[in-house]
Amino acid sequence: MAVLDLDRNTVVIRIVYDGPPRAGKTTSMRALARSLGRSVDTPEETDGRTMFFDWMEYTGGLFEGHQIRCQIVSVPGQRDLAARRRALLDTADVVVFVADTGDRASVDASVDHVRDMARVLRGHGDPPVGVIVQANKRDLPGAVPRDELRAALGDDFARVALTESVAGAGDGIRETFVLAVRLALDRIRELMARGVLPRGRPSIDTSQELLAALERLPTAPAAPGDIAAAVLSVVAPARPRLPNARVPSGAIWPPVEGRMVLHEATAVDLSVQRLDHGDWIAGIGSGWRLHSAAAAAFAEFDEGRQALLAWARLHAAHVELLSPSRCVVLAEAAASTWRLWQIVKIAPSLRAWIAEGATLDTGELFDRLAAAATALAEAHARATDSRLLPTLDTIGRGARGAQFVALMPGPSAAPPPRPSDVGGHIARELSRMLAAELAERRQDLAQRVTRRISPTPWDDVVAAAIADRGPPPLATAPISDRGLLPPATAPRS
Amino acid sequence: MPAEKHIVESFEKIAAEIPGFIAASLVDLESGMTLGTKTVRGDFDLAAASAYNSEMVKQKQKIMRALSIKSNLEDMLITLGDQIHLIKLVSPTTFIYLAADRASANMAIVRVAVNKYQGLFV
Repeated sequence: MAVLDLDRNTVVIRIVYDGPPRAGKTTSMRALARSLGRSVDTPEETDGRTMFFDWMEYTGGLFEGHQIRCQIVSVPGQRDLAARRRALLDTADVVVFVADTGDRASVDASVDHVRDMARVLRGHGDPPVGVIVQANKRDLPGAVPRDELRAALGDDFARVALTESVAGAGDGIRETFVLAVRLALDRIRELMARGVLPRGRPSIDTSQELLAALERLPTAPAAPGDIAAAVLSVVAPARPRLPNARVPSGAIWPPVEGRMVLHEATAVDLSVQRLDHGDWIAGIGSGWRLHSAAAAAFAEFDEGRQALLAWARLHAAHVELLSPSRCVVLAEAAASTWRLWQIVKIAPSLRAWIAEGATLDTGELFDRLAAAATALAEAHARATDSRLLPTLDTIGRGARGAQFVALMPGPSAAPPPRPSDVGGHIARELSRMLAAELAERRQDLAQRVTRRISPTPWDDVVAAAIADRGPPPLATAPISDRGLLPPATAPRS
Repeated sequence: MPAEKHIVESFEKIAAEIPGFIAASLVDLESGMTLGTKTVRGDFDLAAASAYNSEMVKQKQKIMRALSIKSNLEDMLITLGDQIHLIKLVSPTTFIYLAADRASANMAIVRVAVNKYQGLFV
């Protein structure tokens, strides 16, 4: 959850203290708090056991000129609070695993727990989250020797840092904490180098916000789906503000028409939703589609404006094919955070148009399919950029002929493979629809094909789709260098 | 890395030998975080001073690399109008930061005391 908060000139990191019940997590945090002159906030305890988390904040040190703000959190150790534990682990930049090493049985329990933790962290990907095993209760007479502890942890944890502590006396606590900060900074340095360190305010900024997030989680041992949902809800970043009429000049494209589009699109209250992959959408049910990609956030206006210019160039290059009511806007999403939005007026796609005619007379429905094939072929011929792949979902029928009605893929989007056989591509598109939405009409349409008396240039493609016999031969659907040329119109025998 | 308790005890020994001792900390060079502190003046923000001095050490090391100076950075002596600051590197990853009152101490006293006990901080 590391975040670069330029507004407060801090880099925010989260250090999570994990471990089995009664291993000394809370004791370690309280000892650290005493050492740092801070206090620990524990929202709820039952019989001395943490039910949600312990929370402490400490700002100290410097990283690349930014103050380091540490959110230090301990997890509840009980098995029936596993969802809370996992949700917290999922937000960690580094984990201090407090292991009870006072005797052999406690070590075995700790090893089971640490393996479970490793499974959760494995999903964090690259760069990995650092782990320190803090061997606690070293003052007990039966404390397991360090070498045996290493052996018990096994090869999987051979490279994990191991520190020793007596949390009750405060021994070994502060140096473990400083080592944890170092490991977290290593990860942040790597995130920065890759250009993927999030910027802005942290999604969870206070213990109250964290408590509110955890209170939404199930308390019983959670099913995998519950845990995934829980984790998502905890790590979900703050909702961005939508663009509005106060967008500054130079932050909207096209300059004049774009502002009118913006005015119309945001005339009603819109709710923002976050998709699983991090993109934001708004406008559901309003007739408009507002979309902002996960990566389309910028800490500086100028940085966002560079991205806006790239989008504007892309739109300008394809303006003839794009549906008319659309714009790209750079708007302030939060304090010191700018976000790029694409706004498109929803226009029916060919798929929607065909589906709308599903109950038409068979001849009219066939005509509609042929018209859709014609529109797709026209779009293929006009789409000079292979990013705009014409499909039944992306192409609609406009006043100027076929038009691209979907969201524009971004400048950095990898273009989908362009079909080498456009006729076959169109036939396959129609065939899939005939097998699904129009399955009940397929038989009627097949009979109609043979009786057709005024065919259109794309009848053969439609006939191939209806018969589901693959693409028509090239002779009936020739492809030029720039796209598809319609086959010669000829009366059907 | 020595335990915090030992760090504080070692600073108490140093403080006893430096008249005008103000504050001292053992600082993690990488993060600027303090591993142990001792101060006799509540208004001296030792955490902030330690953090910013870690940047200074890193900058000095960068300068040395830029100048292709192969030698090690041992210490940095800073004289203010009313204070003496000493930065003493005790390991590749940690340094002692110490401030003393200039009216009571001088640089020689501070260096002798710190050098005497620096082995306790490794």
